[in-house]
Amino acid sequence: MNLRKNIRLFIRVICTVLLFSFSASDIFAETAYDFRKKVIDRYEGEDSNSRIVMKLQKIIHSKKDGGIKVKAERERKIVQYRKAYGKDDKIVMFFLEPADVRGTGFLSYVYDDSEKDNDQWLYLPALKKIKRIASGDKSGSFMGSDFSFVDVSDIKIDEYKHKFLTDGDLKGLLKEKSVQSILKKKFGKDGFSKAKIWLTTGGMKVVESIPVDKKILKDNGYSRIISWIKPDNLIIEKTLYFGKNKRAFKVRETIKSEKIQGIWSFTEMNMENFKKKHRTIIKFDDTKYNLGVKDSYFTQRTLERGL
Amino acid sequence: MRFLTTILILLLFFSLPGTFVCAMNNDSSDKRIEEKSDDWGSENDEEGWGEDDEDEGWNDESEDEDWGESDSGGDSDEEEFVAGNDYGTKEKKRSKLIPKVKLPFQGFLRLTVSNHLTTKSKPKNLSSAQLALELEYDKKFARDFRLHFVGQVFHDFVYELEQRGNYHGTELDKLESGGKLKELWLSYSQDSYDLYIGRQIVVWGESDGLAITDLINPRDRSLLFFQTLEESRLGVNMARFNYYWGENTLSLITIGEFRPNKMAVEGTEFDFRPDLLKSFSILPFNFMIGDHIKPEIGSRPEWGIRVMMPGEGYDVSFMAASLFDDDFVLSPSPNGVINMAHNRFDMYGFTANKLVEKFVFKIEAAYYHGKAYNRINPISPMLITPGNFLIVEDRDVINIAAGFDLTFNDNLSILFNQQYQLILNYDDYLLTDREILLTFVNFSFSFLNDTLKPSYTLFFLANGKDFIHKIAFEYQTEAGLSLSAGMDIVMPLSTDSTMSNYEDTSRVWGEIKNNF
Repeated sequence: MNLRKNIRLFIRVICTVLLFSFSASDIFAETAYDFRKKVIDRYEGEDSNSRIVMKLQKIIHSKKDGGIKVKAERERKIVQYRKAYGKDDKIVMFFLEPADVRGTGFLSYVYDDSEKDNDQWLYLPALKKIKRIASGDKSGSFMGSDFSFVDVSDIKIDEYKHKFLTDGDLKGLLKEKSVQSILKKKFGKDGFSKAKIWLTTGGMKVVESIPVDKKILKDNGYSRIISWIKPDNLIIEKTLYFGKNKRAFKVRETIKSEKIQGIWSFTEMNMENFKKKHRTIIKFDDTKYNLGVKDSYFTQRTLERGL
Repeated sequence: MRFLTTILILLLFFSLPGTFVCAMNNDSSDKRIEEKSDDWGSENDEEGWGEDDEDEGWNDESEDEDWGESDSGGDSDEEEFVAGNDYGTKEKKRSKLIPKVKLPFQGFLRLTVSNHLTTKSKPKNLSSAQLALELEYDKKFARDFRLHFVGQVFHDFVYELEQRGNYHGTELDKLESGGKLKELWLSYSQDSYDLYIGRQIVVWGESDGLAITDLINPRDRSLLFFQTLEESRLGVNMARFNYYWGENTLSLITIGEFRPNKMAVEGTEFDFRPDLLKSFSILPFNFMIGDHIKPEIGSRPEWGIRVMMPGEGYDVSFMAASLFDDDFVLSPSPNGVINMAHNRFDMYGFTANKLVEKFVFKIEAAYYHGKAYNRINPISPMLITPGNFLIVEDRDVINIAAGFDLTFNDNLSILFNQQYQLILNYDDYLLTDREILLTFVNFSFSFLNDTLKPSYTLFFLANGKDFIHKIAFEYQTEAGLSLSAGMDIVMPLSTDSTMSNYEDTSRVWGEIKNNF
């Protein structure tokens, strides 16, 4: 009897422990939504100033090993100021080079509320006119680059459903023709093993984001976004983008990130559009945070007068 | 042959600033871009993959299956690729040979060549071969001051090549070469205001290609629409005070000189004089067209005031101005000379836009009080003299434009504006239409990451049933040189339409422009 009692007690204790442990993991486990939100809400200073060098390159890959040859390159230099207003941001940027767009100014009020369209104005010095520009189509190219407006300002958390991907899920991705096609271009015929490694989690958290409805798909232009994120600093190390036709076509990679004034910052990244055989490299030089940038920087006056 | 030689010399000349620009733009030309494609782990670090790894490999169908494009590179020139490294462009290599030059000025050098399209009344020939140099200087000094200068000089080789015999000396001087001071102003700025003094260009209004409230600066109409809107604006001397509060702006302007719209030089294909005189040919007098009568500004300078208020998803502005009309009315004198007079009128207007997803809807409206028009003098024919057959009378006018800007992806944007102008106290003796309907449509495409930009613009004047088509292709090279070509076509639907006299001016054109 005692033995039976002891066994029953043991089973009860085990069941209780198991029950509690499941509940605890359910309660304390971070969901992909929470994690992705943390990335979007990552502290980037009250304000910042950077000089941006944008290289727009027409490229071809070596079929053998994926090596890159730049066929043509254009360079744009931009100065940018950003200031946070709660969850909203105000950004002003000016083109310094090339000469034909020098003095062109771009002012944007980026709203966190996904129901609200961003306010955007463009100042063209040749026309001497400030023009409001539509922001409805976020899939459009950001200043002729391979980054779209969504890529530049990150996605809005509630516009997507998020889930973590495991190494097993990623292995499955390699069987998709479009993924295989771009990785074959990226790593070449001999680079299959490299491609397999590229598609592992590599110690990072991998989040798949899928638009919640067709409108978001249409507006943002992505049917699926897979992001590799370093859990310690919440920097997105690489992103694989799938177009409206559900095929992978674009890859973003962080080339360099560093801690500036205690804030993890991108200092160099590139976006390659395999469909267009084009890539954009963006370098952020001389980034500074918390400068006390005046509100008046983010007005039409600044757009017209310059900085 | 002379012309071709000139063009070749010019092309050679063009290539120099391009290389300077390249040299300036490639500060980091020697830096190689590091790829991070193999930083995600070592090849041995393959945990997580299934047991069937050995059976895996590229699926042959994967190559280019998505886009059906063939790589222009490949194994044949494999020696040019190094995994993980970029080879520089030709410009990068060239930059090592060219000394870096920092020019104190910015600007452009531009060669435009155009040829007539039609053969109805004249042989196909060159209409322009103009080389233009524009310089811009902008300097901030003493913390709060700024000096800005924009000037342009040009020389048109067409008069050496084809049309020299058609013009008198003074006209030729105006047409063949010249210069213009577009802007020269000094500004003083403080936290809440800016003061600008000097020759300036100020643009009001929302509409593209239409002038409803955009009346501050005169326009160069000597080439009708064969020049861009920005090229056609003429600077005037004024003082402008901008006061800022929040995101709003109050702008006060007082204009110290009168400059009329610049009309076509006598004898050119855009000259309005022969048609004007033809319309008065039934009168038993001989006329000649005189010059502009510049109004005496004296103690009543032109002025303007505008308040701009941007909001969330919309912008609104209100404006009022008292201006001398940059367009002219005819002022006959007893000696048979018809001069071009410019009378004063008041303008009250507003503009607004509203963002709705991919659309920016725009409206612009103005009320002109006391705008001068020519009227046939309704007196007995026996009493008509060269000095009184036309009179000048003031009328009130409503001018409205509405439209939208629409953006599709990054490839296509559409601008549409419809203008409606109505003279309120109209009578049949007025030498103008009671209503004017003008449509402006522009389609702009962008391909190859903004390097190739075709565009099509249509002006449709409903009164005269005139169409003006402008088709342009612009290609931006990586060295900052832009190559453009296009056609400007005047298409009147009837022989008595407004633009029928200018049908022969349709042309095909090409342009090389180097910004530096």
